[in-house]
Formats: sequence, structure tokens, C-alpha cells
Amino acid sequence: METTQPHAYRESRGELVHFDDGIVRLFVLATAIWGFVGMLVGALIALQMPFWQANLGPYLTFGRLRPLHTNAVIFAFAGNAIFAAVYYSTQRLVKARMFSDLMSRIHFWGWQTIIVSAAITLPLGITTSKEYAELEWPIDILITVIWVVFAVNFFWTLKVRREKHLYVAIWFYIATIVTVAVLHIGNSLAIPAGLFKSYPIYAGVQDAFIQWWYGHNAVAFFLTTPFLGLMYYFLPKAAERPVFSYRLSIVHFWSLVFIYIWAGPHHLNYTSIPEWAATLGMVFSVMLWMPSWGGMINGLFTLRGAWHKLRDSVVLRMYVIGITFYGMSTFEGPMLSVKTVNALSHYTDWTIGHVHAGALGWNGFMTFGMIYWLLPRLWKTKLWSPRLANAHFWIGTIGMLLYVMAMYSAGVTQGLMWRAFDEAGRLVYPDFMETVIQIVPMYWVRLIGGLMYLAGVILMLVNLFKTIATAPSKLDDSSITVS
Amino acid sequence: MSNDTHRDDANPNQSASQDEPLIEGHSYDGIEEYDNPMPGWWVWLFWICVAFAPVYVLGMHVFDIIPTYEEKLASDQAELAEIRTAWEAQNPTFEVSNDAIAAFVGVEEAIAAGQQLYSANCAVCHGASGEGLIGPNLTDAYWIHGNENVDIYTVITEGVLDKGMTPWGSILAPQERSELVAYIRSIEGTNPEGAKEPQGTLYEESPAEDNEEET
Repeated sequence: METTQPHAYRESRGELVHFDDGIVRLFVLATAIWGFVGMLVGALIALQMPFWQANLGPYLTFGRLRPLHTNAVIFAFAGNAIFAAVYYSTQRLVKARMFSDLMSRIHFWGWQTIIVSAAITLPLGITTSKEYAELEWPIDILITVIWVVFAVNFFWTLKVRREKHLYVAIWFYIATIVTVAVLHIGNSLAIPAGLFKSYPIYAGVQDAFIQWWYGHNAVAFFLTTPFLGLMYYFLPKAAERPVFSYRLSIVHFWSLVFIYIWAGPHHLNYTSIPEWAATLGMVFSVMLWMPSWGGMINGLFTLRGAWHKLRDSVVLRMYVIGITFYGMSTFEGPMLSVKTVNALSHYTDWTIGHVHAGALGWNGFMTFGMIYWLLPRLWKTKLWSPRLANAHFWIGTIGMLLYVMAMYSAGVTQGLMWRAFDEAGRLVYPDFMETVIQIVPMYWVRLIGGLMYLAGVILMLVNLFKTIATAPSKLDDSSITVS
Repeated sequence: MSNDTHRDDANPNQSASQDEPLIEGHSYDGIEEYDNPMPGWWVWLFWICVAFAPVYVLGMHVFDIIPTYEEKLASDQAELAEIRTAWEAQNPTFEVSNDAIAAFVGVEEAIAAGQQLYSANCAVCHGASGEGLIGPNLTDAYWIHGNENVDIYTVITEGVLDKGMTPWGSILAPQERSELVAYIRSIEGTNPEGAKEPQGTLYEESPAEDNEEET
């Protein structure tokens, strides 16, 4: 449907709608560049674990760079990827240009300003110390303002849409935009004590609950729902196949968004929360398993009859790996929330392995697949090197397998050593350092895996800039005619 | 990119013959949708997971079949206590007395073993040579909790919680704690570099003088 139509068509064939492709190009560039930066910081802190001399203090120590890494990969890399997906697909799915080009640009530049502020304040040690919500109150307010601009722009576009039904991808975007706003504001409520310091309005266990209600649902509504929306658009486009089941998409959408929001307390298992709250978090996490897998099934089953296309399409191969990793980590999540499993896994590197299976596999590969699919379409040219993209696929896949295997092994080792008693009823490893030294080799393996994954991202950056270099100098917006 | 090429879904090459027809009117930027039934195993697993919730909640919080954290902790500790009692019953007990500990003091192997334990566990707070850091200096003649062998042994065993000294009784065996006493005795009067100022009471006659020749 989408073509660059000559002007003469306007009178004869109804209304001509131009899409704003420029904003998508900006978000794609930002995704790739911040992805590189965030993962580079990740590689540095991975080095700092087995090689403490790499802590270049005080600004570049693990304690300050770790939140920089998480903020960069979640909100800068995944965040910009989400916005690229939303701006590209929404316009086409509802047959309308984004409501306001200005608001789109305010959203883009505002978001990059937030990222730069994070990159400055976190190494300086300015932090609320709430995980994934470390940024201090002035930046929190800016996030809120920019998110509202995004929301108004998005919902106004839906209001003036030319397509009656809203496609499933749009439902996931709506859930994302509404819930992230509620989570961010709810968790960041604080009393300022100076420009760079604030105290949360919650205290003690309540603060912990609010924090993990936020933290868990950041995973849900920043790293899961928008990427399911992304999958529902880009996967059938790349496979050129209809979606497997509309019915399944309705059921797994509503069950996912309803159940996810209750599961946060499992992050606080074996702490001072009341038992009933831990139980609540656990049973809702177990119930979440199938709603999560509904997305995986609808993704993989959409490829029925199109599996042969994987031979030639690096995009589809990346999606298959991404969706498979999504399935693995959404099985693992409910399993880890079960109290008896959590007794072994909590506070170990198993958790790190789990989140990276999701982040590197699902968020990373879905994003890379989207970028490789968008590059020739946005810059109206051919991908510079499909072979390089193929190399990215393999080095990234092997890298993240090394990464998660190392962390699973390290985590289980730690957990078993901490709970080991000898025949006299005394701890076998009373000295914590013993358990750390034991897993140092696994930290090196993790670093190698991470560096391979990072190398893949560098290949993508090269491919991206080389592709752009071959683009025509004047890039017209794509358009469709709507009768 | 032209995506509006019409697909014939009756085409057997697409091996989707078992699919229901595409939903009419559902075509979004060329993306169409089937209305296939949800896989049976998926529906069943979902119901099983949902059914698990009331079973677990009632089992733990109403019928008391599944142990809570507190109950599990209590039963595990009871089990551990049993193991400890059984082990003590089968192994010679170490009677804590000045004489029993004195058997370690001045013995080279005991001092060497004690030194290893000291580096691993104690040096962080008391300094690499016992000169004192967060914890007091162990090389001078001043003692806060007494200077008999058994006094030092007791402090190691029970700790001094309000000052941050860890109780090592459940971590180190009695023999290991005695080896530590032997090591501490061996460094008395060494006056290492950076020695912390004296704390506690001065004990003129330290038993350390007995083994000063060895240090």
C-alpha cells in the first residue's frame, strides 16, 4: 500500500497521506548509537567484576556505572527502539500522519536530553538509589513532561485515524503509554531536598513495595508490551504471513496486562515483607506464564508456511531467536518466583543471567531485526551488507549464549555454596570471599560473551552508516492514498 | 516497497489449509489475521496455573499444609541443631579452659594455622599484623575483655555485637578458634607499624611473655 506516489494521483484517487519517516530515522539512529554506548559500559562493568583494577574511581566505579548501564540499555537503547517502532507502525496501521511533527521532535530531543542528563548525573553519584529509577527529581519531572507529549501526540493520532479497528500492536502501545506513566509517577513521588537530592514519600517496606511494583512492571510495560507490539507489526510484515490467531491475541493481551501488575512482590521474596504479599507475588507470577507464552505462540505460529524464508532473511532469523529467548525467560521468571526456587536463586548471578536472556535475546534481537528491516525502507536504498548482518546474527547469538550460561553456572554455584553445611552442622563456606573467588572464571566467560554481543552491535553500526551513505540525498516521506 | 500484492490463501504451497478463513475487514497496512482457535495445551496450562493459585494460598494461609517462611526456618534450624548434637555426641568435645587452649599456644603448626585463619577472617578489621584498624590493636598489652586465653577465646566465639565484632562460634570450629588464640598470643609485643593507640586495661603480666622467644 505504501508507495511514493507522484502528485498527479491526488485528485484522481482520494486523499494522499504522507507519513513522518524523518522522526523514525532519528529514533533508529539514536537506538543504534545508545545501544553501543550502553553495552560498552556493560562490558566495562563486566570487566570490573573479575578485575577490580578496572574501577577507575570515583566516577567510573562499578557502583556508579552499573545504574548508567541499566538506564542506558533500558531507557536509551530499548526506549528509542520502542519509539521508532511506535512512530513507524502506528502511522501505517491507522493510516494517519502523526498528529504533530513538532511534538514528535520535542519527544525525540527531550528524550535524548534525559539520557544525557542521566549519563552526567549517575557517574557523579547523584542518585535516588531506587533501582531503574535512579534519576533525581528534576529529571523525573522532565521524563513526565516528555512522556505526556508523546502520549498526547499518539492518542491524537488515534483520534484522527482513518482505520476503524485498532490492530493488536496498537493495544500493546496503548498499554505501554498509559501504564509507564502511572508507574513512573507513582514510584518517583518524592520531596525534594535541594536540586540533586530528594526523599521518597514512602518509607520502609511500603517504599520497597512501590519500588518493585514499578521495577517489575518496567520489565512488563517497557520491555515486554511495546516489544510485543513491535513483534505484531514487524514479524508478519517481514514474513508476509497473516497473524496466527486474533482470538489468542485478545486473550493473551488482556491476561498479560491484568496479571503482570500483581507480580512485583516476588522481587522481595525472603525479605521483611509479609508472607501473604510474597504469596501473592508468587501465584500471580505462576499465572503469568501462559499469558506471556501467548505472544510467543502467536509469533512463532505466524511463521507457519514461511519457515523456508529464514534461509534468506536475517530479520526473520533474529525474530525467531528473539521470540525463543522471550519464551525461555518468561518461563524462567515464574519459576524463579516460586519461593523454594527463589531460596536458591535470590541474590545470586542467576538473576543477572535471567534478565540478560530477556534483554539480549528478546529486546536486543527484536530491535536489531527491526533496524535491519527498516534501514532499506527508511533510507530508500539497499542494505549495504547482508553478509555483515548475518555475521551480527551469529556473533550475537553465540555471545549471549556464553553470557547466560556463565551466569546460570555462577548463580547456581553461589546459591549452593551459601547453603552448604558440613556433617558437623557448620557452614562449609563461611567466608563470603570463597564464594566470590569460585565464580571469577565465570565472570571472564561472561565478559567474552558480552564483548561478542557488543562486536555484533558494532557490525550493525557499520552496516547502518554505510547503508545511509548510499541513500539518495533527498528522502521524501512515504505516502499512501486513502479513498 | 509495495506490500499490497494479493495473496491467495487457498494456495496449498502456504501449508495453512487447516486455518480458518482470514477475518474479514482485518487488514492493517497489509497485515491480515486468522481466527485460529487457541492451542489446547496452552489453554489447559493456563487453567492449571490459575488453579494452582487458590490451592497454594489456601494450603499455606488457611489449612497450614504448606510451611510459611517462619515455619520453614524453624524446622530447618531444628534439623541443624539435631545434626550438631549428633555430631558432638560422636566426636570428642573440646572443653574450653585455659589449659586446653594453652596446649595450642606456642605450637608452631597451631600458630601457622591460626595465621591463615587470621588473614582470611580477622585482618580486615584488626590489620594485617594485628596493629588494629576498626578493631583494637591485638599486639599491645592492653585488653578490653580480659587477657586470659579463655577471655580471647570467648570474645572470638561470642563476638562483641554492639562494637561490630562478629561471633565466630558458629563459623569456626573450637580447634580453629584455639589456633587463632595461639596466633594472637604469638604477635603480642611485636609493636607493628601503624599500631593503633591502646584501648582497655593494661595487663603487666601477659602470658605472652612465655613465648616471646618464639616470636
